[in-house]
Amino acid sequence: MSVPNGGSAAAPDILLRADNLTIRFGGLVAVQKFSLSVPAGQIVGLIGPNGAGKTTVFNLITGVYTPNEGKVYLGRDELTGCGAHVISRAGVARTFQNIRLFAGLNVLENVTAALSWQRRGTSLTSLFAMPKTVQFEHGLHERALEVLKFVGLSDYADWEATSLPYGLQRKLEIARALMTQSKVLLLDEPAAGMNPTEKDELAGLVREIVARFGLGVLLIEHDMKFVMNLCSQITVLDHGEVICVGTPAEVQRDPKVIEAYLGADVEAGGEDNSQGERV
Amino acid sequence: MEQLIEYSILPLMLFGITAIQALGLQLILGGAGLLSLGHAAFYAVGGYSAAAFTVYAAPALGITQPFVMMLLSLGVGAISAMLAGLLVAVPCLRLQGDYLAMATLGFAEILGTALKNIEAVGGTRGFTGIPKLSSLLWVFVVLALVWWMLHRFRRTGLGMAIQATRDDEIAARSLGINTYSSKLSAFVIGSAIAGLAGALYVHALQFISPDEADFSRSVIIVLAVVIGGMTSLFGSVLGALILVAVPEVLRFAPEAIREQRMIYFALIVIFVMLFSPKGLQSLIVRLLPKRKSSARAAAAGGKS
Repeated sequence: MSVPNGGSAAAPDILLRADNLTIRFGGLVAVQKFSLSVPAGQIVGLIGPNGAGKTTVFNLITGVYTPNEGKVYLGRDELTGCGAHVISRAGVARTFQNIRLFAGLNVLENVTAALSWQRRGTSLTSLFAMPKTVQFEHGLHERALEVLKFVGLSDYADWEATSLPYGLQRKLEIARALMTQSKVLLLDEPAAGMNPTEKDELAGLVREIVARFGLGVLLIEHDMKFVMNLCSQITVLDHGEVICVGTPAEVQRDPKVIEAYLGADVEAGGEDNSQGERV
Repeated sequence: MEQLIEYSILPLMLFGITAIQALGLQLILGGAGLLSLGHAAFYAVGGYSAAAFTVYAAPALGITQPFVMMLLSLGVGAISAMLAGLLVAVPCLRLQGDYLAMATLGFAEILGTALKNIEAVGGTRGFTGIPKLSSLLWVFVVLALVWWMLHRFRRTGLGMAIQATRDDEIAARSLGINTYSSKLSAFVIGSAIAGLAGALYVHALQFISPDEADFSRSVIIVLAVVIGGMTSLFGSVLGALILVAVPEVLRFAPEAIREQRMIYFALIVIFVMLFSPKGLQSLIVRLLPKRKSSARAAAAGGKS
């Protein structure tokens, strides 16, 4: 199916495009008419108050949920409604807000697992350790070591994944996602729980990923300094709806964004007042 | 002495066969994290099919050489158990939750009842007149092969995909792993291994009855895997050794004690869960000189 790309001309390198995504859980509209695009080689931010629906957007894009309305495209291919593993194979990788490492596997195995599905041949060749299987495993192993080196985890290759310090667990999730050789990387609060030094290091790592692999990155993060420094474009979500799209400077100036953040604790009546004052 | 050797052959064979069953279930339970309460049913499918092959099909095909017959019956046992595994797993694994446990339980009950009513394989009396083709050597060669294969299998792509699926399905899918086919492969391979054990059993005892598909047999195999340690192949073999050895040792005990073997198993399980939740193998590993873990501790120390 071809992408109706007529409107957004002069953007041939747009990798990921979400178009009017809506999902309802029972009566609750969690995300409504959400649109966004992630160009190659750029870092796009997705921010919003708690419960705004940011992670739900990630789940819609990566196929954990199927949207009730709207479409997801990667390049010219439509991914809407494909299974999560199909979307991943197409080139969309992600990390998780609540870290999801494979507890029974060590650090290196967590990374190799990411391409394990590319195995050559069938279960039977795996069982009998055929030369091709061995060769494939060897290649996986080498690649995984490279990726670990890239994120700075080579020294921990034989550690149990869950025994790593928190910050390194987040890095391991990124390594695992990179191993998939995806075109787009979705990072769900990668800096959560990190100290300022670790955050700086992480920002450097994300920049390097973009520079080296030309990936498009979509980033959810609550640390505004982190987001503003890193992202070229930011989408702000509140109550499941996009309230603002723009550069970091534009977003910071937008009254609706300020209200969404600062007015979040104000009661409904107060919210109306503040809006009245501002308008 | 000769008598002792002769006496110990049968328990040793039973140990080897139980160990093969346990290794198959280890892949399903420990490897894929799926609970099968009907593992003995796949073992019975393999056993009955292998026996039917040697009794009915092999003479008709003109196969008389014992080695060839045994080899082919192993193939028949494994493939038939594999197909039975597919039949049960394909509908259940699409669902979330413990439907597989219920379905395997149901399958075992249906199979037991069906076997009791098929006169060609002996009905309630059991299948008799099976030639003795299996031996201690056969059992331990197959055990060693299965063990080696499964040991290798963990490092392969599919083996990794299965373990990743067990640990976190959502994360596994996000990395492109087809979690359904991972689980299905684990279940089907595990069932096929049970079928191998069944083929060895019928040609060792020259007899199989519908009781072999019984729920209590399945529980024994689950116990072997849990007592030995779900995450370890060695643990499953160790668990099988304990479950075969305990009743054998109790043979020499007074009847009042002897008849309560399920109680002893239950006590062993409670003991293991309390003192070594990762199974008896982890207890042994802890007692052995720690080469690997001390190396790791040194590495960790150097880093901090």
